[in-house]
Amino acid sequence: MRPKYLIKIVCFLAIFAVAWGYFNRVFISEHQFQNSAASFRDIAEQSDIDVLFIGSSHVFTSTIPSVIDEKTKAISYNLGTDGLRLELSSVVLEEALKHTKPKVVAVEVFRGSVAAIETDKSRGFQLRALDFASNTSGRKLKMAREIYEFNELTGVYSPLLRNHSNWNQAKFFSLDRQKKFNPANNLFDHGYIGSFIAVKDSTKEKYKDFRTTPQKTRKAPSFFKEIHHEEFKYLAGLAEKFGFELFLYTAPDLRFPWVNGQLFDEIQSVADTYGFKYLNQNLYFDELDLKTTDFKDASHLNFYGALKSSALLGEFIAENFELPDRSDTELWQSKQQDFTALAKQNTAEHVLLEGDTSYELTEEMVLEYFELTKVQSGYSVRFNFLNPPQEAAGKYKLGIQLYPAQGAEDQLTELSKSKGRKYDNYSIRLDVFNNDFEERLRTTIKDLGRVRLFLYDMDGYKGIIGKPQVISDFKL
Amino acid sequence: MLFNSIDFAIFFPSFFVLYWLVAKHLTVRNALILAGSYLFYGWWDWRFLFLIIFSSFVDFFAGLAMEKALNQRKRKLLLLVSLTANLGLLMYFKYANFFIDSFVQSFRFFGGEIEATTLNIILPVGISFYTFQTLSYTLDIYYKKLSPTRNMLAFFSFVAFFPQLVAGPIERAKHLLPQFYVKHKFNYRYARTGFLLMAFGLFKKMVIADRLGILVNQVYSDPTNYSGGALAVATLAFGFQIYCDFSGYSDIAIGAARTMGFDLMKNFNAPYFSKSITEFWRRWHISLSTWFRDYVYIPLGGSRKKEFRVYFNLFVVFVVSGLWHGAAITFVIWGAVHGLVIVIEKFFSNHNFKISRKGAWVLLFLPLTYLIANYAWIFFRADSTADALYIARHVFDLGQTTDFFALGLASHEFYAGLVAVLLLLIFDAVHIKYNAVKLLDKVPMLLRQVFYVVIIFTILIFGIYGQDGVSEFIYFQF
Repeated sequence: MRPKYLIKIVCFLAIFAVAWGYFNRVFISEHQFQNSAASFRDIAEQSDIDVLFIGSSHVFTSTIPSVIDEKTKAISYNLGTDGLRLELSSVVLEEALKHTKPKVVAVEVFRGSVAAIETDKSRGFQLRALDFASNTSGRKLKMAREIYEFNELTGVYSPLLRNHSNWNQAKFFSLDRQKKFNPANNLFDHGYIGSFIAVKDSTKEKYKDFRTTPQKTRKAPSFFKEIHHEEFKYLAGLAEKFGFELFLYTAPDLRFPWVNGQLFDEIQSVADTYGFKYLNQNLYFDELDLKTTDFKDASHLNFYGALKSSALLGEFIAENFELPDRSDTELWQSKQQDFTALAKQNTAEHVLLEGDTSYELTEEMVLEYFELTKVQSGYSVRFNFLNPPQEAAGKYKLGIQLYPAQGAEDQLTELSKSKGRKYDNYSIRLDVFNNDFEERLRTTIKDLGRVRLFLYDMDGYKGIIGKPQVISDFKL
Repeated sequence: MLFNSIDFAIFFPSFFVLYWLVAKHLTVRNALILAGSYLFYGWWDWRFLFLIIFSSFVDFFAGLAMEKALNQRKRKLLLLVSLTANLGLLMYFKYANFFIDSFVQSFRFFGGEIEATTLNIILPVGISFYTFQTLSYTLDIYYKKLSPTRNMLAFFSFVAFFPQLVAGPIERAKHLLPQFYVKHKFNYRYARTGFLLMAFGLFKKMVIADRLGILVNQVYSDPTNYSGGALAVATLAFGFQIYCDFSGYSDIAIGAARTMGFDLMKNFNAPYFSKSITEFWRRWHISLSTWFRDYVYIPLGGSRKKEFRVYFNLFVVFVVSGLWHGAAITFVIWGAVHGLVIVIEKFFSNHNFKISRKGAWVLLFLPLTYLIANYAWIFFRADSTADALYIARHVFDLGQTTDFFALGLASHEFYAGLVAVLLLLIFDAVHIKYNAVKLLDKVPMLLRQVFYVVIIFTILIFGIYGQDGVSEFIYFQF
């Protein structure tokens, strides 16, 4: 071929390659694992990461690296990603091993991580892990062929081909695909993505006996399929090749007592086979002092629960594995400082109002005690009623409306703004009166003007029952 | 295998490289073409490969025997064998159920009662195309326009040549077959324009046809639920859908063949810039209309017969052409509408009612022809005669308001389709006057490469990939 044609072909291929790279970045989806991956690469550039956590949302909502680091004096990172199935752990790990040399790799296994990848949603979630891995990864190809149809493979390897139909939403001039977290709602700490909300009342009610219900083991087909056994073997091979220790753990889950105990026996059996350690945190509910309010939903801890879970996990790692002491390094110290500041903000409390009251909502429903505390993510309330009649149980909900101070109306939540409300609205079911009621009120209102309390029908709002009470005499 | 599938995206580059590696060895090259073509076709359903092989056998040996035949009677008999074999396949696979249904309907119409079960027949992809192509070979030998080939490999490759096997252009043996006898030397310019044509075809198919198809499918699947405005938009959209779908296929076919050094005939030439339906058929599916001209219209007597016989011949050709497109009464009506308009145009032309179609008259005849062609498409696209008649009656009923973005395409997709159609029309208009490739050659080399990349990424970003990643070409069913 003549040189002039070769030059043309080379020019074409060069322009094509640049465009291919650019458009594949344009069409990458925005999600939180982008934050985890970017931050991981950033940390890995500064230091070896000693402990890696791999798994699903169970991991990124339960394991706080800074809490682990405090216990172990090492550097850890959470590479949990939504819906990750066990068999894709090695895909994430292999990519991570290109950037760092961990001493310990912790893989979380629970009921969801061994579930079949059947729905479009679960198939979509695996793409986050596959996107993290390089397109030259043999493991990625193997897993992609296991999970996806032949026609879908182009989409697995190219975000452009996968997401091109969303061209009208694509940001062509900004290639940052990290999710913007609202600090009032989420806390990001080296792959940990915490939430401050607590479970819904209905979930709370459903799992109220999670600490006391004994788990049952029934004979069932093995939870681990061939692909899982192959994955364990592969992980063990990586551990040997790269010189790290592997251990398995299961993060706390409200549904634990109702999951067939055979699964955990199988995990223990695999751990024994390969000489991995296994920590099932669900066996430590009492030691962790977990309450339903430590969960954001039935399967995931919130920030307050994650603090407890991570502390136990950190102690377990510190006791069982030899890790370098990096507590004198700048990176370790800055990580701790940043987290301490964040944690302080989110756990620091400022009592605005507390003490005995005589707020009469109806003749028979009188608030005996009411406490309003300012926390970073909003406010918390604690209250009880003075001798409520038996028939009141399950009859009412307590409505709480938080009004911002004058001039601070822009602090209302987006939901309230979108509904044109002048307050943030909450309701608390008054089901049983044995204990104090406690609730966290998530809001972006920093400057509180007044609080309005009232009762209404449990079946739905049909108007205020009795007389509303307005409180504005806070200790600001 | 579909041109717009990942399978083809793997197959074609691999084939292209292999092809040029063996291009110097004619027999090996033709064997590769044949193997590649059978793989291409068998990817869909290998069992139907036997039909192509059967058709190729029949015509190859019929051709040879016809040359040796000493008398006309024997030649006729051999032609009959070829016609029976090819048209028999077509009749059985494509029209058996149609004729059974039509017979039952007619019987009932005259008061009879009859029960009949239709046959469970799969229509082999491309059967209408390759049977017509092989038929043209024996017909040309019969009319002594062509000598039969003794090169079986070349002939089989000619019949099964994968770029145009399933949806044309329907090639003539005297044009394509000789190209299998000669070695091709790699030509950069030829390969470049071939790839460019393939990209342009994919643009038409994936960006325009498949996008408009979403709207068309929604409205035409239940036309009684839509306003006149919606029916009109869907009908106009279908006009562009079918044009882009079919001409897109032809472009890819011609382009793919060109990258291998083969020249296929032009199949479309900006048909919506026609100023009469007669001209429309000179620009639309050229390989089929010339086939019907050469093998049906002319043998029927063509224009040499008396005036009304000529009109009859024309009308018959278009009705048969309609039937060729599909075994349904709607296709027959579509063909009849075109036949009728062409007869009227011929009548005017014969009786000195010649109307100028130049200058300002273009402004009248161009949109008029476009609207007639689109009105006829109603019968082509509708799922049933009842639907077609409903749409034909209500398409001008523009009294009701229409939400154009509730017809299956969100506003951004609707506008994307509209912009793409406008770009296509501009391209067609420019290409009629100036050769687009020659214009492109005047652009600086680096900008030209950027232009190629822009085309590719326009397809990748704005293309509709279909449910399983691909969307079939409409003309595969014909």
